[in-house]
This record gives sequence, C-alpha cells and structure tokens, in this order.
Amino acid sequence: MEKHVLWELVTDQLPETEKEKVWEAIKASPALTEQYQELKRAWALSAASEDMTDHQLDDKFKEFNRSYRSISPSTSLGKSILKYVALVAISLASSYFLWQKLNPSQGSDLQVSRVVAEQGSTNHFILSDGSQIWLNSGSNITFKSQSHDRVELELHGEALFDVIHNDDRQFVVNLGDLQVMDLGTRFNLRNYDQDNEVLATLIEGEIAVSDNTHAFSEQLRPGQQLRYNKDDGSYLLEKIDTTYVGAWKDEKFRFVDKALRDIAIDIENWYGVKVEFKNKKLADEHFTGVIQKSTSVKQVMEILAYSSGIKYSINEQNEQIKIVIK
Amino acid sequence: MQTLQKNDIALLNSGDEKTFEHIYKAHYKALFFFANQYVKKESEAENLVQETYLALWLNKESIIGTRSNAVKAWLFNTIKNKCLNHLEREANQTKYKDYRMYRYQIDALGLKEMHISELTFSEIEELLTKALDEMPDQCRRVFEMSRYKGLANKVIAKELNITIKAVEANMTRALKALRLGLKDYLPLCFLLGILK
Repeated sequence: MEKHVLWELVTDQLPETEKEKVWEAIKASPALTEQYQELKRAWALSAASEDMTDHQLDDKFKEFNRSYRSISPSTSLGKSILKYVALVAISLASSYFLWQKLNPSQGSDLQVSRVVAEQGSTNHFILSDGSQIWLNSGSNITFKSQSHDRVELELHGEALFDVIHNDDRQFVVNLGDLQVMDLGTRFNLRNYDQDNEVLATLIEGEIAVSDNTHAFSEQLRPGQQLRYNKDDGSYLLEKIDTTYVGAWKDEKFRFVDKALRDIAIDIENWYGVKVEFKNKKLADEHFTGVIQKSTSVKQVMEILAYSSGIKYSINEQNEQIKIVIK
Repeated sequence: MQTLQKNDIALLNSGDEKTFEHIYKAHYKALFFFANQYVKKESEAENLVQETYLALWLNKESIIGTRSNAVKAWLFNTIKNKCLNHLEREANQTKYKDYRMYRYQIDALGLKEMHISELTFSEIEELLTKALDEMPDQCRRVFEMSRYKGLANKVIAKELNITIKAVEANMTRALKALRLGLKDYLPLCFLLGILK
C-alpha cells in the first residue's frame, strides 16, 4: 500500500468506498498500522484547520466564559482578597511571619529554574507533559536540565512526584548523595538539610535509587521505602504502609500510629519552630490524628496535650519559638 | 519563535485575564483541529477544547515550564488525554464489528503512545516550513504568524500591510498545499525519532 493512499485516509480525501479495503490492510499489518499512526500524528499536530475569523474566535471565547468558566473576573479578584485576609489573620494569631507567594509575577525576567515552597505552605506544580510535583513546606526544587530526553531536578526538602511514564525520557532527582531515577510513577522523597536521613518512598510504579559513587543501586517496588543515613552512608530497605505517604499535600497533618518524635519533625518543618523533648520516653509515644495545617502551632500543642495529657511549654528566644515537651 | 514569554507563564499563574485570553486565542485553532482529527465530530471537538481551557484555568497556578512552548505542550497533552477517553468510550459503546471499529482502536493506541513535549512543536514547525517552501513568501509568512505565533488575522493584516481577506486567502492556499504535500516531507525514520 502506498503512502499516498494512507495520507488520503488521514486527510479525509479517500472516497468512502475505498475505506474498508484500506482499513483491512492497516489492521492486518503492524507496519502499516504504525505508518498510518505516524502520518496521522503529523497531520493532527500540523494545525492545518479551516481558518476561523477573529470574530468567530471571539465568540468561542465568550462562550467559554459564559458556559464553562462561568465566573466573572471580579469574583476571582474577590477570592484572592479573601486569601490575603485569611493569611493575615493566621499570621497575627500565631504571632510570627507566614508568607505565601500569591503574586509570583513580580520580576519580569523570572526564570523558572527553581520552584519554592515557603515555610508554612505547600505548592503544587504541573509540568507541560502533565507530570505533577507537590512541594512541602520549606522545600525547593532546582531544574538542572530539561530536554526532551532528560529531566534532572535537585530537591531540598520534601516532594511528592506523580510522573508520566515516558520510555524516551529520563527523569532524575538529585538528593545530595543520592540519585533517584523514575521509571514512571508516584513517589515521595524527603531530603531536608536538617535531617540526618534521606527517605525515598515508592507508592506506585518503579524507581531506582543509587548513590553518586555507585556504591549501591536499589530498584524499589511499590510499598518500599529506602532510608539512607547521611552520616555513615548506610541504608535500609523496608516495606511500609503507603496510605498516608504524601498526605502532607492535603493541607492537613495526618498521622496514623506515628511516634511523637516524627510528629515533632513535621511540626518543626511546617511552623519553623524547634521542639525539644525533656521527657525522652514521650518521644516514643504513638499518636493517630488529623489536624488542619491552618491551625496555629499553639493550638496544635493544645490539641495534642488535651488528647494525650502531655505537658509542654512554649517560649520565644531570639525570634525562634521553642517548644519543650516535659 | 513564540510570543509567549517566560514571564507570561508567571502572569498565567497569577490569573491575569489578558494573558489567559491571549493563550486561549493563540491555540484554539490548533487544538480544535487536533481533537477533530481523532473524535471526528466538530461539536465534540469544540467541547473538548473548551474543557481543556477550563482545565488550564483551574490549574493556572500550578503550571510551570522553562520553555515558551510549555503551555502549548500542557494544553495538547490535556486534550490528547480527553480524546483518548472519548475514543475508548466510543469503542466500548460501538456496535460496529467491521473496519469502523478498527479506527477507534488504532487511533486510541496512537494517542496512548504519543508523547508531546515542548520540542515537538519546533520540530513540527520545521516540517511545515519545509512543506510550504514552494509557496510564495507571503503565503508562508501568513501561515507562520497564524499558527506558530497564534496571531489574530487582524494583527497579521496590519503587520504585513494587506487586507484581512488577503490573509484568509493566503491561509486557504497554505492549508491546501499542506493537505496535498505534507506527506512528502515526512520520511518514516524522521517521524520515528520525534513523534514517539
């Protein structure tokens, strides 16, 4: 079958009476199927549509605003004002500074090579191929390279990834000593400077975790978590329940049977406070619960104390809020 | 060369109305054409395009990119998935057991295996420019301004100092040329590299 026949089929120039014969041939031959698909892709992406007048385009846009978006610009402005008001209220209540970047358009030569989540907020980003990244409080990602066959990021802090699988594209995340290569999937990475551990948790799909000296390379299965010790380079591969992994992106603290020591780390990261355990045994106590992140740190401590009977004190030293659990 | 700059993505993120309208009008025709090729029904194609722009609006704060074609790639990946869902639904519901069923299956598979990135568009543009090489300069320029830069016909007319009717006539010529000749500029090995 000649290319021009396939082309006529693709561009709707083939008479109806010929179609059956051509489709039968395509169906019967993988090579023809592939050729057909590629011709079709090229045609579909060529934007060779019948032209529209400016007026017609205008009408489509009006229709979009009327029937699909159905909110007026003034309403969305109202919503942004509410966001500002709420933030101010929270920062006043917790008496220290929470800043969220609501208007990123300052700086007209903004280069998107680094994305940041400020303390006390999470950020959600969608790449042009549909892959998604959620950044936790006090985290940042730097794009080291972005080409059609390789995306390389560097992560400080914590992020949840939902990567669209693409055989022809490498997706690599650098975590200091470690490197994670995505093979198409959903995974959570934790690499806070203040922690002595790097955590890689695979929820769905496949990732490969290796260290930069190539001393080891582990391919993770769903439900597996790799815990790497930054101090001595040792690591542990364990199976965990991933139901609540990445739950931090939901603007709530969600913990199931979690040690107070680990809950304290989340509180430190989110509120930028320091938590100290005078009573070391309490650090091992396990808790289950859900707390809205918009709650102030004082209220969070009250909730914890009320439900567990722990005693604590909060004070401010050199602009740093310190919580001591007694 | 695109008119959407990196700071325009930041403007999109912040919900700037003018930027959104500019993006809407710049890519509508290309998105509509793409969808129509797969769903083969203009009313459905239009619906999918509107849904895609709605998705853009709802996710406007979250979209990032380091290249100017990032938004275009996002839009096309979104509509590609919508077309795929549509085809899979149609394939399930259809009573055809003949060649009309093959179309759904083969096109759905084609969409599933299609990867669209920012680079896809510059490569397509190279292809189209070659295919239009034999056309008069002005004809090719009109096409480029309309489809690569997403400019309105009125703007093109002003820029080239011709009437709007002349712009429309040139577009018709270019589209005819592509419909006839594009295939000749698509060697298979080239396609396998960029369109997978």
